[in-house]
Amino acid sequence: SAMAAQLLLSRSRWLLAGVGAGAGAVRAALRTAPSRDKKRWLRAYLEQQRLEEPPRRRSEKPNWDYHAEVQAFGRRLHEDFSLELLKAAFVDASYIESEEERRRQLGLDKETVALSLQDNRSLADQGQAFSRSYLRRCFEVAYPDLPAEGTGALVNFLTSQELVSYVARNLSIQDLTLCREFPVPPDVLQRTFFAVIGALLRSSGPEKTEIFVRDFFIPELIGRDLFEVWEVVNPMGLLVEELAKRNICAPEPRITRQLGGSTVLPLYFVGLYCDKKILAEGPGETVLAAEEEAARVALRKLYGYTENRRPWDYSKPKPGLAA
Amino acid sequence: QWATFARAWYLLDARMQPPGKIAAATVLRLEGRHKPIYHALNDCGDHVVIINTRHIAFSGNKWEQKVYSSHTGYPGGFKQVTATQLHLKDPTAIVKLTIYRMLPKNLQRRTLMQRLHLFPEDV
Repeated sequence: SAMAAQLLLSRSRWLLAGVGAGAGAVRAALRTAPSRDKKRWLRAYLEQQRLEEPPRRRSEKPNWDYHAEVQAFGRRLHEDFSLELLKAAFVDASYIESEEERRRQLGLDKETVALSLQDNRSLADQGQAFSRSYLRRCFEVAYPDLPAEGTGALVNFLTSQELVSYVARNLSIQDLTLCREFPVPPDVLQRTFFAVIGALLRSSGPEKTEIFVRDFFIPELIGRDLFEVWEVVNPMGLLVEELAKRNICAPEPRITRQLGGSTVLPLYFVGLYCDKKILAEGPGETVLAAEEEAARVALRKLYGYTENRRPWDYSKPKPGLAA
Repeated sequence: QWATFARAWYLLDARMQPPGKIAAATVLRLEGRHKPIYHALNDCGDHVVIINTRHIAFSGNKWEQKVYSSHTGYPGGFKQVTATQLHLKDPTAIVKLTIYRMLPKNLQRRTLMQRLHLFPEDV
């Protein structure tokens, strides 16, 4: 956001430059009396002031009605929420503490009003557990050959702070959360989003929540490779284990293509063969890097996570709805 | 990925081939237009090695009728040579001139000609 502010500031500097050049051109062209109402530099100055002021919560800006916004949030997502649960989901622990502190500073002895506000912690735990288990079941059905660490890595990535806070920010949850700090930190956004999922679970039931989780989490995997998400240190060893499980012999690496061995930019294509039949081929800068890449390509093929696999089926609720 | 931007080496055998067709295929690969990442500024062309240029075949009567002209710059220096005579003098010249004239007429042409390697016989 600092970079964006700099780009926008350069726009106001363009206006200021227009002021200087315009004033010079006007002076050179014709002599009119200077206007008394609005100066040329005013627009640029106001623009710069607008950009330089610190970011404020949407609730502090004009035209804000919390109840209406919460209702609109539910309608926007085409979901039926019970409003008390949803409002409880947006309340953060830090907000309750800051409200109690304020009341104590103002000298009010009645702290019962603050205690009636419920935390979103329990809803967040429920929502997180539900979404993690549902995503794990989804991946176990869709990629049955993927081992437990693979599905665990995928689920951890999808429920990680950066991704969930990114999704939450784009669903305007940052505007609706009641939190002490602004801009809202990513772990609070993650907790609030899971609390919203928990509230949906309690209001509409597991089927609708499963569809919601599927529609918002699984598109984040589009364009992402398996090994970007799952750190594998020794792909060759893993490949040998996988092939041993399927009773195929160990792979034999051979150089299929090579280019520019003694130059600055060499390229080697290494193919892995089992019983003289090709398993996978991968490119690399050196022969070792190419062999590792070929092992990764082979693993992708075995787990069924290639680039040309069938895209995810969003048409109907997933059959993995084990009761 | 690493492999997408590598510069490949192609080998082309010109035995009993018309030099025009050879040149068309070579120019395509020298410029890099056979790659989906092609752009004029990308420098994504490949090297092409052409062997057996001594054994190219013109169709029709072009060996006798096709004339290669050049001027030395001095007065009275206009030379006109038939394809046969040129081929006997330098077996790679016909293919080289065909490719040179087919490449785009810009500053990249000289660099692309440096990436072309011609051999009269099979080595």
